[in-house]
Amino acid sequence: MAPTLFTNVNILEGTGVLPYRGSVLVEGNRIRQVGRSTSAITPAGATLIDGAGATLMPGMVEAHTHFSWNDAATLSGIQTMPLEEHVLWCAKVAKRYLHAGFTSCLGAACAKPRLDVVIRNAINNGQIPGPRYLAASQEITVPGGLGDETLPHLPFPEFSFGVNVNGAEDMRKSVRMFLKYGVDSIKINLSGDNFVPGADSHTAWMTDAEVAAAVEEVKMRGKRIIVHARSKASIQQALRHGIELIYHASFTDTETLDMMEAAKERIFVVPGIAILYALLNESEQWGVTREIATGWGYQLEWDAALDSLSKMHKRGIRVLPGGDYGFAFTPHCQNARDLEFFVKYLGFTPMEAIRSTTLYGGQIMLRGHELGAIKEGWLADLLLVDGDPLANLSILRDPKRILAVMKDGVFAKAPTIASQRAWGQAA
Amino acid sequence: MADTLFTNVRVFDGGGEAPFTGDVLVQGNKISRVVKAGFGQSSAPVLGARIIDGAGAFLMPGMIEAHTHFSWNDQPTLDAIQRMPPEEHILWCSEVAKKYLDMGWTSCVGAAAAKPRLDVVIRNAINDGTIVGPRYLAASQEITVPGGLGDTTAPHLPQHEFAFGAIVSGAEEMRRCVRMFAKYGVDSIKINLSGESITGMPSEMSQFTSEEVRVCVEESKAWGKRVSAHARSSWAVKECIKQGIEVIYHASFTDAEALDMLEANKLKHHVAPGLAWLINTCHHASQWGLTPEVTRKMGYHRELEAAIESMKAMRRRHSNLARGRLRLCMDAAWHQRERPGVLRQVRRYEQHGGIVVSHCLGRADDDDGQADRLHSRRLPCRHLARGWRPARRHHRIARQGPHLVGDERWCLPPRAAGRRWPTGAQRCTTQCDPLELRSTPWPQPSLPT
Repeated sequence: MAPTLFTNVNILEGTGVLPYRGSVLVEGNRIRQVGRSTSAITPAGATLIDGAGATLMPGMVEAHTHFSWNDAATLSGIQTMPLEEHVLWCAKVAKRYLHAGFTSCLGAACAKPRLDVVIRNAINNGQIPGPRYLAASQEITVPGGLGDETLPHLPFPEFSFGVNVNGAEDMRKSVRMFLKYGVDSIKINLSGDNFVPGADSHTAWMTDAEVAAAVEEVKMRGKRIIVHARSKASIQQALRHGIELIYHASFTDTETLDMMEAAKERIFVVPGIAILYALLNESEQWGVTREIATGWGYQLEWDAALDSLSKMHKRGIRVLPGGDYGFAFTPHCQNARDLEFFVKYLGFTPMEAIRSTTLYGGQIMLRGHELGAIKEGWLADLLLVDGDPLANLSILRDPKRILAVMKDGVFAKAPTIASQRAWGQAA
Repeated sequence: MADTLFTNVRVFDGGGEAPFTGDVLVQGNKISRVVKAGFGQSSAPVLGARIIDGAGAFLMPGMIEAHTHFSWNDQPTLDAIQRMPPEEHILWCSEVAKKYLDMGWTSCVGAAAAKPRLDVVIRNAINDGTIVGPRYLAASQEITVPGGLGDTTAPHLPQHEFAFGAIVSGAEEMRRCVRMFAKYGVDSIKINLSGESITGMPSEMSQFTSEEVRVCVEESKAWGKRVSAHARSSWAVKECIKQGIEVIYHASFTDAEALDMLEANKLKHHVAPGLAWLINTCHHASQWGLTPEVTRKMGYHRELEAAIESMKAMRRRHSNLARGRLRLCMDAAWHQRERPGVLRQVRRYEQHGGIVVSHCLGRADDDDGQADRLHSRRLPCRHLARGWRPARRHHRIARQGPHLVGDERWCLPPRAAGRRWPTGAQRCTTQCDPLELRSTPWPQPSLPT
């Protein structure tokens, strides 16, 4: 594969360093050279991309991805898609994420047992295009909890969005099944969600014995646990059990924040606040007015979440963007909007917001030593962006402004320059 | 979508006429103009059209694969096909659909799927733009009987999920089965009326009662579905005609009565023999343990000879007909073994500037597989081709939808390489005229002995 030289680009390293004009040479799947010269010598045979001042930044990492959420408004609407269609949906979405600039995604749960695993494998063996991916299990929950979509007269597990377990041994069995299928992470719902009747965001329903069984099995096989934890009690439960990936974390108090800060070297928080925002502000066409959402408790949660997450950020806890895109009100591939939310509502600087999806993104993908920054020797996952994201983060969710996407040294979305140069076929 | 004007192409219209140099204008999804060019005359300009100068390349209708199994996954046994989990299987089908289109097959007739909904889902995904693939008619699984072709359950593993086909016993079970596939949305119901020697049930053996077949057809018709049959035995062929099964696959063994019946009903039926399977099984399957000795014992060599005789007889009856024809199509079932090699080959041709690979149409036979093994070796229609003039053979391919999978490809001119064809237009071009290959002296082909 020919080397690629990006010249005349604004290099946004992703580490927090201010951008500078320079050149980046990619050889194989690695970044070989990063320099401040804009007239770097092109190696023989290299493809030369003159960025004309565009920004070159690391590929973004989506830290809370649900490929199998199919832009339906309800969990049941996601679940009732037949298996075959669901796989094709996931394949299509995976490609869209990559083209949208997400070169890595961390699976947060899938809607049927093997969807995530199959998509990860298909990406890895080159069958379909997609981001680097870590595959998740279905959501493991308890009867009546978030994710139990069975009905009293239809108690069959196939009707359920998540997997219902009762007791530690049941949990162990379920976790083992997913590990057998080859997941990278097990997803456990430790708290509810406001749209679930009788299991709102303040709940915490799993016994410590159940969580301990899951943790034991997962650690034994060297995998990770991801928890859905909105309530204070569920966040504390996750921390007590040494769980590193905490999703949502809306409700906290000083004690909880202290516990989190003490563990800040190993934990990641991925709040997925877009869905809170969308339900309050943008979901009328699906019948969820602001009044209804407020009645469900979303205004309360939004306020609490902004407070909690701002404090976490101040304490140096890694808070990452991404999450819960794939519902009707949070359609896929608008995920970079989270960066704007972080700046507007959580007190991030634009640079900090970008760092959270690049440098921290590489860390949450378990490749903190080689992924998520433009550094010599690191993996060549790169975006060429028309404009300065630090000045306007919203360009990161405009497909026209994402000029090129490179994953592992290969263009997933090639810059259009080459084809414009080709012989035109004018009439 | 911009209009496309192909200029300076050899136009083969698919109707059996000799190709001529000219221009073809595609507007939207229709061919709106076909013009013969005079010598030295430049083509009329068309405002706003994308122009593709074919530089003398061959422009022909997209080919139609009349007996397609997207879900066969290049495995040597039915059981191994069946064992692929549904998630992987649908991705496989999606990948294969794209390959077919890339190879020049703009339409495919599904001949059976390995799991109940695979074909339907792929057809829908192609139609709604989720994936890329040919026009497609979706088939059911193969409907068979306990112990018949397609029953891959083991005595200790009787669950129907282990079965390659859908197993029915009795007319009412058949009815239920057909209704299920109709509910799923198939375009055609596939029924296995005869055996298949490799499975232990000889090809000349038949299965099903006439009553079961009758119910299958009755129920399919009630839902507006077409029926296709795996029919290698003479009884099976005759049953297709008696019961009104329009699409007859294989038809290896035909007695005089069967041929008479076929001729008498020639406008109602299509025959797609799938000769590649017989040829490859007889001669090119040693690496899977199917040496010629083994396949001879299985009866495949005898079947290949019988099939050739049957097809020749059908063709003869075709030539004697004043009007209409016995529609003879070819299929590529079980071409799985060569597909990867062929793709490599195609890539090489592309790298070398898009040289044509159209040998199937007039290329020498080489039964020993030595000479020119890369393309003419596994030509499914080469035996059939003897005695047919190229134009006529070509005509069949283009018009009636026979198949040539894999062994050739209408390569794009270098300038257009890498660019998708307007699929609605259903045309492909080649770098030289496949019909001109008739100027090559044809060595007398010899049948495998």
